[in-house]
Amino acid sequence: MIDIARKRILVVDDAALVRTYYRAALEARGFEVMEALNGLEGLERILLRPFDLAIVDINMPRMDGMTFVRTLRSKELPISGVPVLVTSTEAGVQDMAAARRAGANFYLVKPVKQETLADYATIFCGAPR
Amino acid sequence: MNEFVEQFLIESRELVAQATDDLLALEESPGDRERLDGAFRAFHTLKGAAGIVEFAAMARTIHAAEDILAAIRSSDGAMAPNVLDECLACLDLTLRWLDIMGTSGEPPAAAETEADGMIARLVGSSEGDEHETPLRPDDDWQARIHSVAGQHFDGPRTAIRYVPDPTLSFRGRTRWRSWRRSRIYWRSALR
Repeated sequence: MIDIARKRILVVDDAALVRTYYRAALEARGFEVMEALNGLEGLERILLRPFDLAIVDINMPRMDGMTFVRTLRSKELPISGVPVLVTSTEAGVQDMAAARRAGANFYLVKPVKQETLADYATIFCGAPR
Repeated sequence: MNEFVEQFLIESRELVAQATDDLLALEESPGDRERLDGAFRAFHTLKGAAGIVEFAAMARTIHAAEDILAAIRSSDGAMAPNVLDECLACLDLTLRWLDIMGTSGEPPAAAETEADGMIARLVGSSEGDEHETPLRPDDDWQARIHSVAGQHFDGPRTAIRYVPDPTLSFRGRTRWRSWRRSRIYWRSALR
């Protein structure tokens, strides 16, 4: 059985309300959660210490989510393959396709229900729901 | 009031202030890309925040303004004064909604109707005066109607000019509902 409490998730979003909302959902499920305010800060955190999943917004200052994923995937590092779940208010097919091309594993359109987010996080971290 | 609504109210007020600041700066320098990006980002974050607390009327109103700002960003154009005025009005309305929600903990009851009006104003401002323009003086519309259906007229009739409602996609309503709300130009009876 996989131990959820040992799974670490990085939430990258410039909106504090979104980070709080996601953190509450993920911690209630037992995950350890860290936050970053933009893609650049996200990369810094993920390079310092590995994560099991990154949940990433697209529209952010300094470095957007697409650049974050592209940069992450372009590095030849063990952490480069970390699953990335993109959450964005952009609901267009072209937005989802662009995220996939950048290297995202999955795309959820905001607002994402807390239960839904926690379920996907659980799946990506390899634990049964 | 739950913790998310409390945080939503605090952050949304900050974002409204930030967006207002950027828009007022754009009034002075309409081509300032940094301010335009700042305003866009504030509207974008406001929309996401409204989604979390399930304030649908606010989310779609802010979405309408965000789409206009996105179009200006991608066109490399400057912000027209009437567009800027409507974006500021949208922020004023949002602030009023936040005040009401701060008291009741719930989105205002009138928000859906107010959102419809605000979205129509926003879309109208971004599309210029197209929907206000009367028929061209040289457009002999009576003759055109007569040529198509004149033989069926017997006595006075009313002609209706239908202009599709540009806000349809923001309201998620049917075309019939849209027809009833769109600008309709009544003309005198055909003889």
